Amino acid sequence: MEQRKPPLRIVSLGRVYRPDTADATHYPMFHQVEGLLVEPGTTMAHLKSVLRSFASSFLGGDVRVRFRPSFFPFTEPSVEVDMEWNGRWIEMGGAGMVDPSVLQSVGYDPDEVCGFAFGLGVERIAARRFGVADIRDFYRNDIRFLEQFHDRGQA
Amino acid sequence: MIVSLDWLAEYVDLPEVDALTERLLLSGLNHESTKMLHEDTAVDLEVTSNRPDCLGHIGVAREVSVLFQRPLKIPAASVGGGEPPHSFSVAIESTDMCPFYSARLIREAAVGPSPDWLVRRLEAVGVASVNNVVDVTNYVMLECGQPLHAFDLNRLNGEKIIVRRATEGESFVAINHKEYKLTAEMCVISDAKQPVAIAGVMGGAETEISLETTDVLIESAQFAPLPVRSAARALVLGSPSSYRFERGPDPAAVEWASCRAVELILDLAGGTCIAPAIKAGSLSSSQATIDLRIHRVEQVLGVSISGQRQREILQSLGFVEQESASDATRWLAPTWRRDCTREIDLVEEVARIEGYDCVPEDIPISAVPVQRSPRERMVRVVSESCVAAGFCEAMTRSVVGDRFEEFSSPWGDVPAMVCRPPLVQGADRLRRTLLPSLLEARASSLSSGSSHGDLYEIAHVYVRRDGESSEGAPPIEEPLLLTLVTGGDFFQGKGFAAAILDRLGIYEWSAEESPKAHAGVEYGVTYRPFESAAMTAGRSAEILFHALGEKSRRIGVIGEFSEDVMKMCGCDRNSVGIELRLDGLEFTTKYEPKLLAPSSFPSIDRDMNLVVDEAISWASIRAAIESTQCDALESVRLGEIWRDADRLGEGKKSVVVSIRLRSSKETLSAEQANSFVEAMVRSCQDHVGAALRG
Repeated sequence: MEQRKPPLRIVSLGRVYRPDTADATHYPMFHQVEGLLVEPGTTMAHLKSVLRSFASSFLGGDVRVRFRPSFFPFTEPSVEVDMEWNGRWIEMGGAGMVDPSVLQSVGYDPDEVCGFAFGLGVERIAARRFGVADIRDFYRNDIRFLEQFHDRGQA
Repeated sequence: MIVSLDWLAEYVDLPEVDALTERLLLSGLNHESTKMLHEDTAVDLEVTSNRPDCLGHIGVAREVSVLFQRPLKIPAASVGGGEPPHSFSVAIESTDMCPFYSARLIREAAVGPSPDWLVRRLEAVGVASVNNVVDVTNYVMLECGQPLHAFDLNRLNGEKIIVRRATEGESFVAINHKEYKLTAEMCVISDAKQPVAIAGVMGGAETEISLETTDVLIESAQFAPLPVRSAARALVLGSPSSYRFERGPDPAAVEWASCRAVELILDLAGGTCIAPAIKAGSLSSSQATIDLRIHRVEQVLGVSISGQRQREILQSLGFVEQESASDATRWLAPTWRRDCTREIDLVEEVARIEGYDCVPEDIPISAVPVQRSPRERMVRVVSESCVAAGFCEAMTRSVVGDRFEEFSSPWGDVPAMVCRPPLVQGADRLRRTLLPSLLEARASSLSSGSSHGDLYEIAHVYVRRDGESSEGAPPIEEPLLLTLVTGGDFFQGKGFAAAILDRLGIYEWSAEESPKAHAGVEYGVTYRPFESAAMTAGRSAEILFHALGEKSRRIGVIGEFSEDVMKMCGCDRNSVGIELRLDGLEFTTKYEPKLLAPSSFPSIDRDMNLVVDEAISWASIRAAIESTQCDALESVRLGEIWRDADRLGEGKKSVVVSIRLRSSKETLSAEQANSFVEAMVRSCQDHVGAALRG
């Protein structure tokens, strides 16, 4: 961001690490999809609409999303994002509007440009969707587990 | 924060429980669980670290009052009367750790069991009853968020309290009767002789309230977050008190809590209070003044909320209007909301109370055409090839245990980088090859009864460069690898490698000494024997990548795993591994084929039966044939190899070569075909000493 002027649109998917003790809901390595959009006129409505489009194309059908207030250091307002699936709300991850201090620190004027950011937990969404009760199963690499997801890759 | 609804209802009229938790969930207090009790309901709410005001029932009640527009009733607390001044004193030596300290003294209290209502309320929120004095201090903390501590006044030495930095190595016995060694980063409450509490964290066993206690000192103070946090962490002594001080309670609650606790103690335990409070230092209370431009709310949220509605919300939250212009208002933040200091904080307050449901979800962003990057396309191509070949995609950890260190990496000899603390117990090396991880996964899949153990993974590895070699280059390389493990032998492994490289448009070159453009592509690979402790000698190869005008480089290895490695990974079935380095091959996905018009003339097939020395490779025979540069040569295939010492001679083999000839200009005559084949046989005689067998 220090070297570029807005507009900026970034999606990044990859492995992330956290020194957690592995249990059914924690694993020291997992995957995040991070998104960042910074350009003039960006609002929370854009954030919600983008996440809703993602949820709809990912789960199929017209999926609603819901924001719950939260707290993260780099966004304000900050929210937790849920999507409605089979009559339940499932957590997608965290999101928010890029904190004006972040924009200032890279030389952008927060009155001129706004941005949104999100970070979605891949395993968490997959676990809920596919009924995986133990997140460690994703990393056991048991063929009998993996084979059940043969045709899901390019959906 | 566990909230008792019976308790909460003292401060605000409550709606029905589901409506209450749903609304709180959508305004910042995440609902974890609801527990029905005998005469009460306990609701567990997650309070984010920026909202210490909600670490007490009154704070939660304030949210309820704002959300449901119902009045908030906070009990008044004051301590009147009392005896004349006394000789007890309080001094703060480290004001950076404790800006303000107040003590109230109660004489002739009767310490005993708490009344039922108090026991029940504390139990509802998971706090065990101790005695009426201690219970009151806990009750008031859970009411307003300000932690308190009660000392047995008669066990304090020298009629004084000193708040100071602990001396290094000073020892202290806490209420849990364990001894702790303190450090100079910690703040202690001390009497004339010794520490009697770790400030904001835990009191001491020596001065705790017991059934013999008659005189009580109630501490209500302001402690800086950092010393509390470091003491609680270092001593593993986190408490409800330290939890709150780390986040910063409402400065205005310090005095209220002290009075409230004294009132309740006098009520429940009798005794008299010596007023006024003995105080030291001054309360640090910074209330921000914040300008909120009315249009800024819409600018951030994308939905218009009227200036009037903004005003209503902020006022109900306790913000005080200072000045107003037509397009902006200046607000003074309430003492309990020290998290609100900037305009954006007010925007968030307005948004969360109005509810994010008001934010539209059908506002598209402008479309921008994007293409998958060459790397993404490459990864997709190879991934599809692996899946098509029946492999399952695996994901193994990026860190491995040190035993995998023995598995040499084809990508660098410098020992693996170590990650501290270990990411997983027993696994602290950033791996330099995926092969052992995948072999281990294969072994475990096979032993658990899977139908096969064919796995692939695409992941980065981390390879340190030699100190000397890199001028300006980053000290760490992150090769992107595609690794496969499967059964079978070396040749099957090579077949998979070649199939994947084919999909990328990288073909085998006949001989690296004579690179020839293949259908306009100026790069290719050759296979060469490879030695590694991880692979079986004579059953492994490296893949070298050649491009015109470039130095050849290794882009892969193939091999049957060595016995040692099989043992290390717990694998007892034939296994072959293939590891390809993908980074650097992205350019291949840019290649667009240019049509070579298929010939409309018939082909002529000829077989040559060549007898050569055992050492002559198929690749060199093919190179000899191709070196005739015959335009009509469409394909060269290996038919079969056979050996017969009697008929061919010792150390000889017969190689049957199938040639297909076709011209793009004419129908070839038998004479033309014969002369091409004769030239090829001559070339084989010259280059590899072949004899044509009749």
